[in-house]
Amino acid sequence: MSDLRILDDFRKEIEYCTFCPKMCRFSCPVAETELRETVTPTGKQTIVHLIHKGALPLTDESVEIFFKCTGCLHCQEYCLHEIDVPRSLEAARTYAYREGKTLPAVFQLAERMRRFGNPYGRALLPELRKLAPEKYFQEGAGIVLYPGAHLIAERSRTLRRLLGVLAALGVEVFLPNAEALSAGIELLDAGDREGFAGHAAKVKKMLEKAGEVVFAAPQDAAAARQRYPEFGQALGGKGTTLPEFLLAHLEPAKDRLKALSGRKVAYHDPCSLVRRLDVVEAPRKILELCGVQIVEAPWKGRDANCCGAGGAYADVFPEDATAMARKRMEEFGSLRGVPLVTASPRCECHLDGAKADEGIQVLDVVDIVAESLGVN
Amino acid sequence: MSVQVTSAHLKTLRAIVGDSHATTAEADLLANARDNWPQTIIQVRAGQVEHLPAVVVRPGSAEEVAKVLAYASHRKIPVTPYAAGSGVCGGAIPLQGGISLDVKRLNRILEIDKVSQIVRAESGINGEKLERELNRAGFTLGHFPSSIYTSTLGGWIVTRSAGQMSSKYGKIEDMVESLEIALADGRVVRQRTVPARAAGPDWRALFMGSEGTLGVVTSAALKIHRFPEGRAFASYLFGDLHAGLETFREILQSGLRPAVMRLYDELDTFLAGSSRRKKEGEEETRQNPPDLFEPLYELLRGSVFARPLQFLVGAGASLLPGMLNRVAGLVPKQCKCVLVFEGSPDRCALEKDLAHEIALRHGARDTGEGPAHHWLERRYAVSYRQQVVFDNFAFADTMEVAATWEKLPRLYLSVREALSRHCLVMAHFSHAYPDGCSIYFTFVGAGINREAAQSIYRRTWDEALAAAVQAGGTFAHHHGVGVHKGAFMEKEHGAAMEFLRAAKGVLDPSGVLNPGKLGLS
Amino acid sequence: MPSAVAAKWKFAAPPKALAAALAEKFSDRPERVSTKPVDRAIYGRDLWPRELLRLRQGIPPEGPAAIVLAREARDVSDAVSLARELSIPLVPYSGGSGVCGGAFSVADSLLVDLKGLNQIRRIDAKSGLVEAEGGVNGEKLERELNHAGFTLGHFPSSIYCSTLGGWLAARSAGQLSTKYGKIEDMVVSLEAVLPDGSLIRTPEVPRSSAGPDFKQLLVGSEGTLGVIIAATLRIHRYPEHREFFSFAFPTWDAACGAVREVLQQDLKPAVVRLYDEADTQINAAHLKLPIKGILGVFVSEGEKRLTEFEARAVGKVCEAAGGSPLGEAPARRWWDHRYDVSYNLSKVLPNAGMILDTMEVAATWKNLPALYAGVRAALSKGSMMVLCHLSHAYLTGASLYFSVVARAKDEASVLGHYDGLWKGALDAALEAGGTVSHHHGVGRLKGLWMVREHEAFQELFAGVKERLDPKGLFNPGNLGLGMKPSKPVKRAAAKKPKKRKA
Repeated sequence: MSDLRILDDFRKEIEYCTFCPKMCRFSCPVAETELRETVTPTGKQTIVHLIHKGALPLTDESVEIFFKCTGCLHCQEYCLHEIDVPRSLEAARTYAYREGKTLPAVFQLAERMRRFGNPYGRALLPELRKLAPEKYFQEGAGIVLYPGAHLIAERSRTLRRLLGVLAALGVEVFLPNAEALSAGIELLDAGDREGFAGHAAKVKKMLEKAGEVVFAAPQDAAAARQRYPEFGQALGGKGTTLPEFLLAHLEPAKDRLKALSGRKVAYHDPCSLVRRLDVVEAPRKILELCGVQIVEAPWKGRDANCCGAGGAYADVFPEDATAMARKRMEEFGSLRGVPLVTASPRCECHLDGAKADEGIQVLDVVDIVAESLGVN
Repeated sequence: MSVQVTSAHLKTLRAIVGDSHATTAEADLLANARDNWPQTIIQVRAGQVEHLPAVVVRPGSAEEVAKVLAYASHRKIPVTPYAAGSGVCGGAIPLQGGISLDVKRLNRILEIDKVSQIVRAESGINGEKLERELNRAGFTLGHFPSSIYTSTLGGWIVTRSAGQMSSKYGKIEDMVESLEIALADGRVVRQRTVPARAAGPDWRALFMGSEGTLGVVTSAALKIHRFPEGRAFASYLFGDLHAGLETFREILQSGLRPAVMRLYDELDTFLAGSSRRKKEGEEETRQNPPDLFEPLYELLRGSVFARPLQFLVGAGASLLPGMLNRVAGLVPKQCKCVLVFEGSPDRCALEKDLAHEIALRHGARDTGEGPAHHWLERRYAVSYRQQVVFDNFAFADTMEVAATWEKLPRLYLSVREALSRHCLVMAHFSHAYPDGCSIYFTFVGAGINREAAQSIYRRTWDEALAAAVQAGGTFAHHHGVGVHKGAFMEKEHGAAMEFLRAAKGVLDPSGVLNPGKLGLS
Repeated sequence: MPSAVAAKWKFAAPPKALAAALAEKFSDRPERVSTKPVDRAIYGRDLWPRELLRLRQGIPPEGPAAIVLAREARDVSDAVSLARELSIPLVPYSGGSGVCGGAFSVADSLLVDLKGLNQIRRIDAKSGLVEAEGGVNGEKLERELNHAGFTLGHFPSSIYCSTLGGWLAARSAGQLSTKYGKIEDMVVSLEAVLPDGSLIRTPEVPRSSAGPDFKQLLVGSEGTLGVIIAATLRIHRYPEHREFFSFAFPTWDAACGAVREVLQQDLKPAVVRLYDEADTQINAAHLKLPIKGILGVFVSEGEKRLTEFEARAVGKVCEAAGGSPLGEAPARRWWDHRYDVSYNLSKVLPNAGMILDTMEVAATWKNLPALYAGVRAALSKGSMMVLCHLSHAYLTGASLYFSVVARAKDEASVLGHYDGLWKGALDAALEAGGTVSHHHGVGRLKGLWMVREHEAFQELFAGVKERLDPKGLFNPGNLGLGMKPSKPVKRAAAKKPKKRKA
């Protein structure tokens, strides 16, 4: 089935936004980076509306608009009607995908996901297996730490530290043992709903026996908890975020943490973590336990601005996504000598890749904990 | 290029305003030939009158004003509006002769709307008379320029005047709600009076400050305030200007609005006599200390500095200012500050308390209410003593500039430096705003003869005006532009002068309205 | 009911000369130019509800032909010179949040989007000034100022979607205007590009008497005399204290009298709001409080002791006027929901036949009763609901804000119905001696009434415009320029001066 009817389900959302006085515009990272009316949430939804109504055709230019979204959901914070603009745009992307009219970069992303189960376009399981001893890969009813693709592919040192920290705290975890190392939100971002359904089933199967699943990547946690049920793949209440999990184990062991006094770190809230999962305080509490002083941006917590890592935006518009990350970094003032810390490997990779100044250090909350615990 | 006013012209003008109100009597022409620009005073002292109008026309209504303008425009006769002639920049001088349009007969209060607190009055009304009438009705305009006895509402509006209580009540442009204007095409046009609007540009702003170059303001509607129930007074001495100015800034930025805020530099403080030790039992408010100009007069004419002064004049006037300014530098390092609060008694008390805390935080010494009371009693005295200075090829003048707080020190230093090259200088700060402050310089100079005095006078001004613009300030805070400062308009406004030229082209196609003013050629 | 199915929108290729000139002028920054249909479909209108009704009906926008996404003043100057060379209309655009069609693109026009000029250039903490570019979003500007310990004090309910340049161009007012003034009271200096391409910067001085204040001609000019690039504005210390309080007044007249007394006692609470009977009942329902008569909500803010004093003094005035205190809750609820009103459009406008709009007029205290009665009566004809509140008070008068919901007999007659409502209301406002706009501006909606409000001054405007922009390229059709009044205005309020005594 490939027709416009998929948009019917979102008619209220699309129309509300089309006829809204753009109240959320300033929170939209794409609108604020490109500074172009068409890519405000209202503008994007109006384009969807006009396509839905048959006034505008589906062209490369209009499909591009569907991807002018990082899925950060900041707009919803300023919507009295609590409209989920990313979901409407996802429906529009699905329509374009099904029509075979989506963008080349998007087809490639979906293809990588289908072949390797992650957005990197290579097998990551061998890399993961190299990082941890065999005992982590035994199947059992224990706690599974689901590291996510970015941690494995680009932040292996942080992943090693994480395993070290958990070991030091006496927490036994297992690692996933199949080539489905991203929860698959990338497929929804691309508009490949069917692909996502299949991927979710795979992940669910892999995690079926786990007693608990800890997601190191907020977007994976959000996908599993909030989107899997829609496709009949609910994890049955499993799925916690790493900061919450870590905090629970650090608080009883806080005497073992060496206070890194005199140290300042800037903290960037990952969008999925704060707005999709409402985890605002846990990473901050962890940092406080480590004795560091937190430098906050003017926009923080549920009101934090997106760094541009989310959605397929960085795949389709890499330069704008880089500009977005830089803008976010500028909010903190000078980051010289003040590490930028966050709690999402995807944000870390993106921020690290976008930084204008080599002197800027981008770290994970885990890195700070490891240092405080003396784990290397 | 001035057009001869013929008997035919006169006949028509008399038909418009009545025979007795268009006069060519020499006394009338002389009276309207100048205003209070010190340069003209220097000239008048020498028996010179450079620019004489051909006829003084005194219309009795806005319609008559418009008819005169239309006729003058048609016949290309220059028209220089004139009211009290109290301006200090030569704005009312009929540079090209022609008609001196005297609006003093337009002196009625048209309406006091007690519900909306708006007064509508004709532009020729004397300031003090307007204020007294308002007081009788229980109100005040809140506009007290030291010229109030001799200036008019219309003059205030077209030069963007400021009163001594501007910190609370604003300048005249903050008070005007709407204008009625006689245009050169013969129409009288009146704006709708509304409290605020978002319907296009604010055309009041074009006419306020236009000094008669675009039309003649015939009446205006202005905000009025209830006559204050009470007042509170405070005075302080600061160790230096900086501490005093920081106090002003803090007072205003914390939301307080004293009606009067005055701060005097060291010389002004010294000469105003406030630093003089009070004699035992002497009631400070009852004494009769010297006013602003009296000591300067003394300085120049006799007593203390008489001998060295004569010597210096003989030795060449260029040595004079440096010497005097150096002597002036020896006065005690203290700056007097006067605050007056107006409003309900409890509000005054609260504002005074808060301001007091701020002043003390900045190291002020409390000198009680006396000096503030005294200032209020003698607040217009300054205007009386100017004339005496003009003997002996000497001159005195005042210059009012303004800048944001950030730029104020630079403005003060550079204008002061420019003036000091030629004159003895002192300053006070009497109009403060949350974002900045004006500086009122008083300066006295002399030449060995009249020509030298005039040339030093001009040079002093040109250098000081240039310094003001250079320092990022405005070259005029409330005296206007006239002919005196016209050359600096372009420097301050740049291409925005296009607005003025465009409006001039629309409203005065024959170029007869107050020619030669505001830098319009 | 779903909105009508639209016909396919056609976007003709931009004129060849325009495309060629743009390609040449912006050859080093081609990404700042767009002629894409997706952009032209969005940029052609602002938030004038009439345009939203047309969108509902599937009517495509007239223009623009091309869009310049300005990132620096040079982009604006280049667009201006290009417009002059080719004699094509130029439309300045930033938030596109105006509700009167001030940013409406005529056919074949070149639109300049100024949102890319959004730098906060400088905070002068000493003088209490901020210099920022016109494209900066209102909420972003305010947050940055808050972060530095200041506030601009300008809170239009559009603050999330409007920009500094738009505020200045249309003479915006914020919800705290009674204390902080309207935007024209805050601006100290302007930087703008004039129709001849010159960049002007008015002096940044606290006050001046060096000729007219030219910036006040650009403020409110809605893009007809220049394009605002940047401005310096007064800022205030972030208030250290707030007081919330509310009253119920027996009648509208008593409530207005109380507010007048407050202002005329020289008290300036930041927020002063009175809701008429109908509006009070809606508020009462939200509050779940039985409120009879007229609800008044007040907020004082600033230095603690001054604020407490002010709140007490205002309270005394309200009680003397027969007001019964309702405590903090209604004022706090208003504060927490202060921008909510703007979201209502979404609920009403997608539905066929429905009309929703707001109208803000102002008059002196003396004329205010006539203004209220006249406009309310006019709007009541042909509408389902009319609400009114008083929300910006001055020493000499106040503004009234009407909200109106109407249903046309069918979708085909919606625009006519809409126009009729406005005509009646604007006529009534002028007849009562009021202004047709207190803070939304004029745009295309009120052009004819602008002419009637200003009479000779509109001729002056047209004359100045003609000299500065002889080809009339800057935002043509805006502000009633070129319009002739259909009939002279009846002026009930303006009285002739008394005859002079002999």
